[in-house]
Amino acid sequence: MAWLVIALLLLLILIGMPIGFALMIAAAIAMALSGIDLILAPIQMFSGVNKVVLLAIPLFIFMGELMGATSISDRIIGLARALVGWMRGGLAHVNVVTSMFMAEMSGSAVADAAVMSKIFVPSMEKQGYPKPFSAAVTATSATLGIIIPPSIPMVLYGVTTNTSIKDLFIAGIIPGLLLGGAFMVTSYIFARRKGYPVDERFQPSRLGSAFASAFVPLLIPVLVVGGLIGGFVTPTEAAAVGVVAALIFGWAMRGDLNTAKVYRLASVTVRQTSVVMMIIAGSAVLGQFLANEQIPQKIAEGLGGLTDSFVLRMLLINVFLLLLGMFLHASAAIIVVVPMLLPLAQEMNIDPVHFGVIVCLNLGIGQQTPPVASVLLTVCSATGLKIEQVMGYCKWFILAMFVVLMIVSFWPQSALLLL
Amino acid sequence: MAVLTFAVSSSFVCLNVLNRYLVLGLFRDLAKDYEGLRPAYFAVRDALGGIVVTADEVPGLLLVWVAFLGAYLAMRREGHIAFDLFVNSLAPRPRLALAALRTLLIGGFLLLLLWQSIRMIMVSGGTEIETATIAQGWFMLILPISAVLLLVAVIVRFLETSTASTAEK
Repeated sequence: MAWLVIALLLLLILIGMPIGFALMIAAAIAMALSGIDLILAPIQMFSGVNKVVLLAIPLFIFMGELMGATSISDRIIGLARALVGWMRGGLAHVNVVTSMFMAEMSGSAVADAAVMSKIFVPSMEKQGYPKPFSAAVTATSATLGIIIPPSIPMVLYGVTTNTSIKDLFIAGIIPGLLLGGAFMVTSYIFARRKGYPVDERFQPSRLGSAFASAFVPLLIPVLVVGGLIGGFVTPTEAAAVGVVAALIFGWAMRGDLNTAKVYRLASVTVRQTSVVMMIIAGSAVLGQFLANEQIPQKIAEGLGGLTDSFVLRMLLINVFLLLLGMFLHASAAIIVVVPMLLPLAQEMNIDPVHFGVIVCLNLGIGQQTPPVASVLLTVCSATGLKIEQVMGYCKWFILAMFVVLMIVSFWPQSALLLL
Repeated sequence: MAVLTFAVSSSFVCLNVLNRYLVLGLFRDLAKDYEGLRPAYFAVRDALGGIVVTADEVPGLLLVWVAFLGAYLAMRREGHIAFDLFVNSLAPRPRLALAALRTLLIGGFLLLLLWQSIRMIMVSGGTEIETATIAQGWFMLILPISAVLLLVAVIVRFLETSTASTAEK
């Protein structure tokens, strides 16, 4: 019966049904066939979304939207240029470092990619970089947004698996830095081989003035992530503090924002949030049914039964998540599938926090790989390039991501060291 | 309405932080040292105290409103997350047939949701939430409302798809 429901769910997704509704419909049919009172459907939907911690998602989205609408990105780019612009392939490194800074202010890779591709691709093109290379750097480095805290997928993972969001955020720091480093090494190799230029000479005075200009915006992630890691605020409160700080900076201090702009950004936030919340509501209904049927345990037994080797099981999980990420949006993958994999991870004694980082890295790669490739598609759409053009360069950055994924998968301390 | 609900629920969270660190922290310390500040401190503490006691519950309940009102807005505009690779590879006629099937299935589910959510409110809507004397039915009300709104949105969306498909042919 349960397998029939999963088959129905896959069929509904295949025919283009919005994933949230596919989950709800599959669950309603399963409940009806099992003789369960259908009043449970709205009850589960209501209680699935009614969680204060989930409010962190719209707040982090809103914070990112506000940051994107202010002059904060210009100041961060100025700082990144002063920091790494002197290296060969300067603007590519600036692109990566800016994404690392911006990742601290926004929890969404797609949002970061949309902003960064409009800023970086034209300016890199002006300096002689091939447009597809610029797009590839922009797309892949935007993935840092879901690894470096705050991260919306990590909030979702934390809520779905009952794992500390604070610990997940801390665990994302070293893998995020490793990933940023891997992108810079890849860019450097390209720059050496293709003779890409240096952006500007290193000048301590320039670095000082750039830092002074970016100081106030940089305080925002310090407040958000520092407040959370320090235990002063909950994830939802941290996100709310970030929104207030961004509003004060953009509205009161800089005059970049006005009422109409803030309203428009809030409206975008509400729509983006609801798309995720419908999947959460749907999975709350179906999840209960699948849990009753012990489907996660059966899947864990099935996957785990293939081999006893820890290495092979870990590789199997990674392959499964990579394939999943290629076909499903990161939020949907976390909400729907991760609860099914968690029993296997527990059986393998993988720390849930470590597993969360592995999941996010895999789904980050999925954001770059067609057919779904949400981030890559965003960049392609913003730059007018075709996927295959960008893929020529993007594959090397994906390889770099894969190397980091393997390091994090088989060296748990890379994620757990700071905890 | 959705933006307003989002603003209100966020304000609860902000007020909670404000109350914890500025009122019960900084302001209280100041009021200890300066007697003249005490009446103001007590007034602010009591005013905020009544609100923040609900801060662990009401924002979550309001989030349900944000989610379901936003779901309607998203359905009217950019749509919800879906896997459309297979559907987009089809010819216009089968693509339209699948759109009709999806609309029927979602429409049917929304009618079911409308009926069951009204039942839910009748059964448990009268129970008050834990931190205030407000019946939880007020918060549950968004489910039948959004079922109707979403029903309208999916029908409109299908009609738009159908018109576009006819034009494509």
